[in-house]
Amino acid sequence: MQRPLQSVQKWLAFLWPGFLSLSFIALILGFAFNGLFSEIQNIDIARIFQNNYLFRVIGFTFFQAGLSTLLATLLAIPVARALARRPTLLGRKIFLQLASLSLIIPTIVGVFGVVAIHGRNGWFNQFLSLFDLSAGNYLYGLTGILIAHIFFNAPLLSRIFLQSLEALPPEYWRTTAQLGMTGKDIFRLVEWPLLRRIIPASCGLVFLLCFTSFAVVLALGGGPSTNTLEVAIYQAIRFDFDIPKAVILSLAQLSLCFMLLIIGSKFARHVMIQKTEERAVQRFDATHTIAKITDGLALLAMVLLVIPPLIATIWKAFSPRLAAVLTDEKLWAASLNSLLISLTAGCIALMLAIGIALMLRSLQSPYRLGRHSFASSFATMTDLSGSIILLLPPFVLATGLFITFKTAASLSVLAPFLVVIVNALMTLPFILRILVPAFETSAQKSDHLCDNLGIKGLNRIRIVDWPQNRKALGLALGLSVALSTGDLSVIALFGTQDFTTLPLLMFQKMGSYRLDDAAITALFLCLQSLTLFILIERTIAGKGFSLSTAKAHKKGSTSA
Amino acid sequence: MPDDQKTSVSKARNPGASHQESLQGLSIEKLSYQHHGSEEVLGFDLSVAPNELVAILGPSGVGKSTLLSLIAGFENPVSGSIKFNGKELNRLSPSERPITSLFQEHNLFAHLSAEENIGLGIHPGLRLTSQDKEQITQALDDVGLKGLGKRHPAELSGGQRQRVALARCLVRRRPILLLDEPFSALDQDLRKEMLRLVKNLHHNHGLLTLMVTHLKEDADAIADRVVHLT
Repeated sequence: MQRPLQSVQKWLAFLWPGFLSLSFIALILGFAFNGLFSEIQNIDIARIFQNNYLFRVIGFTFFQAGLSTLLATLLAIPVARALARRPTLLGRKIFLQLASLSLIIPTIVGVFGVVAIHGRNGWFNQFLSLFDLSAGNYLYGLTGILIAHIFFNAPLLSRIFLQSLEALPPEYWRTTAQLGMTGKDIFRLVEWPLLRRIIPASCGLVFLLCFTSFAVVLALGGGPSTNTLEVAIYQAIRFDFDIPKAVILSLAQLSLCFMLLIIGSKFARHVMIQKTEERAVQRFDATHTIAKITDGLALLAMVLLVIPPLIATIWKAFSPRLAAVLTDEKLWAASLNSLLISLTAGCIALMLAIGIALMLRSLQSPYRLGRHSFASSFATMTDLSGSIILLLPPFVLATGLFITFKTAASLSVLAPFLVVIVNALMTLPFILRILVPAFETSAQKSDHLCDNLGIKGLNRIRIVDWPQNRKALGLALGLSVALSTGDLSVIALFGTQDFTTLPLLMFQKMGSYRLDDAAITALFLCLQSLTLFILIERTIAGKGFSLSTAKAHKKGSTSA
Repeated sequence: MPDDQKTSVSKARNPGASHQESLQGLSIEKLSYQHHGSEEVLGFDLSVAPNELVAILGPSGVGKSTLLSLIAGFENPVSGSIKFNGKELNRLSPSERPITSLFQEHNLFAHLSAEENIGLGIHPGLRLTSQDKEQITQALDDVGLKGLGKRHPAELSGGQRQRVALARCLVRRRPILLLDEPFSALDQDLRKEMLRLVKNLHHNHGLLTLMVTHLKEDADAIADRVVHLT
């Protein structure tokens, strides 16, 4: 009779942190859905179908996301190819670093850069006016949405594509050279078959990012004909005060996102933020004239798309208004709000992620619970519940929570709470990708040894787990805080004159065409985000880190 | 010390390779090579008669594989010459050289079937006639893999994969075969079998074969002549 009891205790001992995290997430989601469903009886179905508004919005959401993904992919493939063939190209490293930042750069800052180049008085029109030409006002509307989405996603995609091309063995390129395969043959028979396998996952992710993109469409959409679901929800709440309409839109968005998940079942899992390894690969097809021309054109297009907006933002920030903006109380109030929100959201996200990662490593390690028949399906479920938030649009979550709590507290109390919670949950999938593999590796390395030496409980955390994982923890918290700092979604819904964050302040300045002020705020925002990221990552990872892992490695290898 | 980097040619089993014959076969003269970012200069001198099977032995780091890469055109020498039947190869691209190579691993494209991998040796764009397809079937037969042409590399054993790669070498009909530690990843029995296969193919197709290995027994088992790089 004692055995089942013992095994329950064993399970609890391993899994309680995960249960805490999952309960918290379930509670939040429960409140959100409770709110959404409580409004359902107020919905007048006939009104929704009256003027095709919902279908127009859904149609455009799909259309812009599909076209953005297609164009970003079409640019990313030749760029990835060019970079793969030219491992020693000048500026390659900087480009890859920029590309990996594209997830962290606040969306609104990127949007600002795009406006500074492509706006009516942007650099591109100024350049054309030198020749008495003008491209006119082409930015607002579909064009602007596409430019901004490609700006963010083409570098990300080319980085992912490059990573998989670089994973091919160097022998391949020697073989293609000896067999006399041309660039076209190599693309058709070697590179494309490889890319075709990773395109569903990576382009699925990009499609989802474009599908739920908010700040870009809000700032560059330019009218009701270019509304996406996300923006329509925002407008329904913020301007029409029409909560039933928001609920309908939210449910539409939610069900479509779930459909997307089912269609592209294995998204995101394969897309990790990783450093590309420097490998000495010689590509013999790189020297051909055609290869040089196509590679040159692809790289030029990418550089012209990505670099000028970044330069323009920095350039515009150094304006005579610098001192005036920097001494504005509003900026500092917004900065403080951003700081408090991002730190709180980051810590909550980290706690949740630690719980889930601890749970997953116990479920997956055969030395712990992994041998139990249902451990692996349980692990898959846990993993999925972490990622599913990626599909849950922040507005849907925020709308539901808002409806549930709107009678319980005033908006001034509710707003910061909602922004923090939603930001924490939004960054959770990203930091799980960092923590879960790190925790798993460390358990695999140390479980036997710790049991052997009787290192348990707090001692184990102090001597083994902390030194082995502090680097991943630092990266996770830094990333979460940086992402929350730059987020412009829920805050746009609940922000007021008295409660702004840096991204919202920047958006307001753009809205009133004070572009110089916006540029300075953008720079300030980036600096705050980057400083926090570096500070947190360095502090937690610690200087003594390399030494202690070296010791841990040594221990591990002597035991083996 | 500079002498240490030269090749010392042991002529124990083939004293006949002399200067009169140097126009025929492969001759490598005063070939020197420097690794990117390295001070050390590797030097090579070697001549191989047509139809000769030479094994190259030596400790790791001495440049055995580098020598094969230089001959195949994957690396560029600082100076010196590589000639085949009196014709200078240095300026030719890898695909223009009368050479076919077999590496230790990753010879086959993982996403293509055995047949397709062999077919690439006939047409680099894989546009194959029915005649070409017969030739592929024949090559598979020659290496003892009859009927396995539709399989992908992951569905073949390590030894079978190297057989497919050998079949591709055969359909290319190049007079020089370069083997770079081709069977080091295989167990002893399989290795012996593969060496016998190579020796047969070498004879039947009248090849000039160079094999790099770190195993003396492999070298002795197969080679007409063993060259020690020191």
